Amino acid sequence: MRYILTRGFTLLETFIVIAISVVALAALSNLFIIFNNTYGYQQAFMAGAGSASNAMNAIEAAILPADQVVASHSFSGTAYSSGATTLVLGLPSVDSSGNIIAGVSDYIVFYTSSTNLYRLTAAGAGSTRTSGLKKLSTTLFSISFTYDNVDFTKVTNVATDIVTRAQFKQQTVQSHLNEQVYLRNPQPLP
Amino acid sequence: MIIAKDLRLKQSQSDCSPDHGVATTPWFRGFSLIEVTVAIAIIGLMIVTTSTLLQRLPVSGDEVRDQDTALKVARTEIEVLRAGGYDALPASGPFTNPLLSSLTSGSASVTITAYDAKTKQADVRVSWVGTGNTARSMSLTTLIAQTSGMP
Repeated sequence: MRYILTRGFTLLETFIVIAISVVALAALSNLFIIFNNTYGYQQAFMAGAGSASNAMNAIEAAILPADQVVASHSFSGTAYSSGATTLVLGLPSVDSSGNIIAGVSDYIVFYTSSTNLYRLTAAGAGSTRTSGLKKLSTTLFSISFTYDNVDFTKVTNVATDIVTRAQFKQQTVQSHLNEQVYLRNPQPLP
Repeated sequence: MIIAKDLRLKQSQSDCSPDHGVATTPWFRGFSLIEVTVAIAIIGLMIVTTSTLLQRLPVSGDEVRDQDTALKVARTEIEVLRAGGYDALPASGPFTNPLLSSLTSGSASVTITAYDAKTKQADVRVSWVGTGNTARSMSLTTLIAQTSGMP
């Protein structure tokens, strides 16, 4: 086998090739860094702003149909009391055909533990709601529930304020949501 | 490069004068300056396009968050108006909400108009300035009848 190109590269040709490669490599690594930053920021954004929005929606979805804000309720042995950072709600139980089950209530509590916000559901017998714990946010900075009446059984409006904060490098992604939600059908629990 | 090398081999096989090597049959002439420039320009364009695309992503994230905030402001006002009922409806004008400060130049107003003899229509509009100084707004509308309102 015979090699036709035998003279090799000149120094100038090599320099030009290296220069072009360096420029291309610099552009590519710049692209990679931008991509990495964008990804990290999006992750922080989702953890911060996304979870604030999700948590607010979950709280709203529980308050609207609730019968009453409950001062205190025991969820399989652990008692939770409504207050500035905890909200216990009593809701009418609904069966699979959409009818309210007489004499039965579902209970939902929203509570915090360090930067986590949880929703714990205890469904009544026959209710279509599923009992269980759901973590709504892991980036909670502050939450506050404000009631329009000191007597929880007379509360018709709950003002919820949520601030979430997620950190990415030197950037802090903060999200602040505030909403007033009215109990649509406030009535004594069965 | 591989293609060019193959062609060169073919050429040397068909050319039955092995002594005339490279110099007399410079079959592969290399790339011209224009070809190289065009190739680099295309690659450069691809990189620039991709990076611009990536830099826009966080911007759209902020836009989404602003819209969500504005929606919460409008929803709260709608809830308050509905709960208050027909007789407590305010006059048209601006209203306040603690969330408005987190929007750039955020402002909010409600417009009450008569829908019919026993119903009023409430339009809630939230305006703010989005990224790139573009004016953004969102609005919600509800009807409030004389018999509505919370007990």
